[in-house]
Amino acid sequence: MNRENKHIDNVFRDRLGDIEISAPNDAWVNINDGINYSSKRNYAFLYKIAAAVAAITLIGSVYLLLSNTQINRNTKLISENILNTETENVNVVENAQITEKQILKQIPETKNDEIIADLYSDSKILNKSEITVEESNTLESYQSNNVVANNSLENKRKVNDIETLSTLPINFDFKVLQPELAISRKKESGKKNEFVQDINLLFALNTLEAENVEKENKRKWVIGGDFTPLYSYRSISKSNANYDAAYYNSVESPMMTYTGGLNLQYKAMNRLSIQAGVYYSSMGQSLDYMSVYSNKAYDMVAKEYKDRFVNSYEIDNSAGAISFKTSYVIIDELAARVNDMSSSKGFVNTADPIFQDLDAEIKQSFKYIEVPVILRYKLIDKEIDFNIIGGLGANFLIGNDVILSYGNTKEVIGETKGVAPVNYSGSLGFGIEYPLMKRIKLKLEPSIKYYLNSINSNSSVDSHPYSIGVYTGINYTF
Amino acid sequence: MDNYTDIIKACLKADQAAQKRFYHMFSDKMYGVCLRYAKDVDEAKDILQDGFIKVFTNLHKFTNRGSLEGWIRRIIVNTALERFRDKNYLFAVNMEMGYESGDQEYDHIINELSANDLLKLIQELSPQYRTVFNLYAIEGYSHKEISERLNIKEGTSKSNLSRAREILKEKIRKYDSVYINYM
Repeated sequence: MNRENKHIDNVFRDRLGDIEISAPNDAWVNINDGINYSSKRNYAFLYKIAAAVAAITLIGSVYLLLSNTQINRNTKLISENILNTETENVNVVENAQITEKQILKQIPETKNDEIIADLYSDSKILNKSEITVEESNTLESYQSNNVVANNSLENKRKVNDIETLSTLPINFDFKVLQPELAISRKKESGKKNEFVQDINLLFALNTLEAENVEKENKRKWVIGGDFTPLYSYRSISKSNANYDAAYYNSVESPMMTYTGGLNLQYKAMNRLSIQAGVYYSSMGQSLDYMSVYSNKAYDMVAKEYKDRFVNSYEIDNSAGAISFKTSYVIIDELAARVNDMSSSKGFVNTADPIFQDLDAEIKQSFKYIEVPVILRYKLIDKEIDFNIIGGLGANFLIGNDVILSYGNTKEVIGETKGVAPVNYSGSLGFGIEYPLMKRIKLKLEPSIKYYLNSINSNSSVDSHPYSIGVYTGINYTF
Repeated sequence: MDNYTDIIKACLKADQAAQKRFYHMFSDKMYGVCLRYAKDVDEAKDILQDGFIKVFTNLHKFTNRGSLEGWIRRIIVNTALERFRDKNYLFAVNMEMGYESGDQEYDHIINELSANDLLKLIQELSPQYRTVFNLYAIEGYSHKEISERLNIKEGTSKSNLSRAREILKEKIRKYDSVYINYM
């Protein structure tokens, strides 16, 4: 036996001890990147900062551009309307000022290209050289303003008298009036370009609109729904075992999951809201380096003998010990994760035709009902809101499966032992809310959720699941 | 030794051309080492890359008092062992399902096998057997040294070596069969 052992040792030593095999061509590229990384790291850091600044600048620019474009468009419309307004309908008085109570009304007519302009003020004072009209409205409110303009060609007489107006700085102070009221008023008047004589009516309209605005502001509740695909994985914060995070990262990989649910927001302050809800969420990870074989013997034997072909064993991974119970033959390609106490462990000749190699995936899946409490701070309160979001959540475990999937087959083949029934998570994100309708907004909120405590206190490592996703949903204000 | 002095100095000055020349002086030989410790070419490539990065980042520690190739080789082997260093990785298999030994049929077969065939046989061993067999049979380490390096008992090292040999013999006899440890 000793001679035989020495022989085999010598054979391998002689032939492999100094064997030279051409190294892969691309290996040097990676090595070069690795050893010269530090010199490149500074540049990479600068690139990242530059990219971040560029991204922020881009987002800000687009936002401002959109806002300015809308405001400019409105200003232009007003200027054109003023110029096109029949000047006899404009009461121009030298060295006077338009007061804050002046109201401009505008309703663009697209069909017949007729714009009715009606400029009026309670004091009937308009100075062509010192027009000061303050604007305090956004595009939305502006568009709903009641500037009634007459854009007909015949109204262009005496335009020279007020042409200079277009070159002067103009500020608008639009009291928000409902379009229907303006139209109604127009019908009542029965004539275009007629000054409002009854100042009491204007005050009434203003008061009514102010009440409407106040009423909108008093709407403090928002209900919403989300559905979001998630990138789900875990981080290992501490290891008491011989394996470290690098090892587990090499044998496990992230998986795509999803979350969805309902939430309710309460507007506690002008920009601050509190949100609570109920979400269903799925977390997990994929187990790599596992070969899966179906065992035809299981299908061939009588029912009473099938149990003999069901394997029960455990393997350890970062989330704890996985307990398998299945007729599939699962081979740990690393031969390292198997628990020594597993009963079905042994050798198998996979060349035996009774085994069929399956292109299968094994995933560890944890399903939770999540109850989050989240604070939302409105950083930008414009047409498109920009929110900073952060909060905590309690996650109640409702599902714990190890799932084997191949082709159209999906089968639960085990579970992870010792997973904490309740886990607490923190979340952080930002997002925008875009108005689809008056009270309905679309929200897009890139967020990260991180489990604050380890998913399994029995595991040899502290594994904290996390997920990243763009939370997408609809909000309704009431 | 002096042949390497200049190129080492150039490498220490981050001369990339020198680093590339240095790498190509040893890469093929070290890749052969990596292939013995790895289960496949991908893993061997990873070991080679990680190992040479360590070589370059520790090159200032080389004292010129020994073989440069031996120094690089030790780093490459250590890099490979880092992947298998944990004793939990070297679990015991069910001995009752082992193979019969003592058959000497392999003698004439083994002489027909090429170096690549032998390399393939080693790669098919489970990591713990492959590691112990490499360290003992090819690198020439004692069981005591192996036990210290891998943080296992000497007895475990011996039994792993014995099992590795048995499996290799069996594989040589049934060269076409693939045996894999499973749970």
